Amino acid sequence: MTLWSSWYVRFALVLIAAAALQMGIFAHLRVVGVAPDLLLALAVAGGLVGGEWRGSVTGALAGLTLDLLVYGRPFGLGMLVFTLIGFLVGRYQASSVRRSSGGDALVAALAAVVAVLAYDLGARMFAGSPVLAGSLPVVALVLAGWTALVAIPARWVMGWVWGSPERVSAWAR
Amino acid sequence: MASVRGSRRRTRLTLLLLVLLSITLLTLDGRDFGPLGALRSGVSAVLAPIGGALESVTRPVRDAFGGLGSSEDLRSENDQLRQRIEELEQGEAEAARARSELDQLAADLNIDLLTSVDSVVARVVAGPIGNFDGGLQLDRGSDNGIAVGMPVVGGGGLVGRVVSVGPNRATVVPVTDPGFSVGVRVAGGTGLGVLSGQGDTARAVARSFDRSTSLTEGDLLVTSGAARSLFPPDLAVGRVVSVTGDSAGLEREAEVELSAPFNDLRYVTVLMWEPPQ
Repeated sequence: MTLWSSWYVRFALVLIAAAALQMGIFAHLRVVGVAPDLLLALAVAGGLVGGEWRGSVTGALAGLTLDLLVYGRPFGLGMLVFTLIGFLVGRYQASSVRRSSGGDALVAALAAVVAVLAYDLGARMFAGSPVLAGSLPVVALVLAGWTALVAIPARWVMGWVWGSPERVSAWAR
Repeated sequence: MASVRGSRRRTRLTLLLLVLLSITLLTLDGRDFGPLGALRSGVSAVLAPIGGALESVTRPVRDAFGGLGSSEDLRSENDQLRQRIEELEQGEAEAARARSELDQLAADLNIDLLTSVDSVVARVVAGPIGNFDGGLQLDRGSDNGIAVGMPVVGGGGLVGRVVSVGPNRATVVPVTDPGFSVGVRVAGGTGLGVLSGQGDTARAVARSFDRSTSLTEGDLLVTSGAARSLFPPDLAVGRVVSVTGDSAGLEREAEVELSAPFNDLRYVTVLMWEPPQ
């Protein structure tokens, strides 16, 4: 039993690394003002790799991390949106028989569009103002491309986090 | 079969709990629950230096790639900047004379000028981290006298307002944020308007100018400093790029090019000015 045998520890490490990478590198890789979102990619990858339950949990923790990092935004909105995204992507994973990387990338892109729309809608409901750093269609489309790209390597990372099914605690399955 | 059903039930229960937890956090945040802000400040204080270090390490590579694709733009920008420097140098002597006269008049009339306000220079250690936020992190905080509400300027224009402070950290909501608004007027003019961020790092929109307000392309907009304003008067905000009227023809609005260079903002100045109670 090593420190790394617990998915909690691996997950915490991945979230901290993702937050630091997002702040230090990904935030600056902007295409028409839109940056890739590593935490959203993790939420999507969590669903792609682990199904509904793990997708929801990954989304919730990634969203909570986003909420902790951003200011002037409703706290909890990231958690709410990413939880639902992780769950929906996990639902796709659980219901699809034959999957391909292309199909997963397409699902990741669609998930990003839904996340952007849901976050914007939630911000208007809870804060009374839009929050996106750009126009909604541009952010949604470019972030869809970014997420499709980043979700592929993020799948490997989330695969490492969740490990093989036997290594995950029983109630987590 | 029973196992699958049990698993589904657990998944739904977990989803429900997580959604309820999110909504609880949203509700607490809506009621300004203090510990959430403290938690954010703590996380930011821990992660911002790591992010800042990564940003510094990768900046040369990013600059090199950026330069490859835009050498012609850089040359043109250089020419424009040289021309601008010449213009500014010519205006410098005139400005010094005007400032001297202004100080004299202010002293005679017992008026406090913004030039007498103390300030703290801070480094921008982190910008917006993604697409869902617009905050800037500074490497100075309450230990340096910075408090929530203080205006921040940089690069010749208004940058934003401090919204959160830790001992060695401050967070600024910039003018570009879609939730940000500030009262403005034309420099040297009278009509008042409200400028709002659009999520664009270069442009914003100023609305609610009375139709009689003289507003033309190239006009400089400054903070109005009107009663209850969160900003002192006469801070440069941006220049009018285009002017349009609303559908009823009662008000005018302007697209504004912001004065502060938000795409390359490395240092800013926090003005030790707090809005009057």
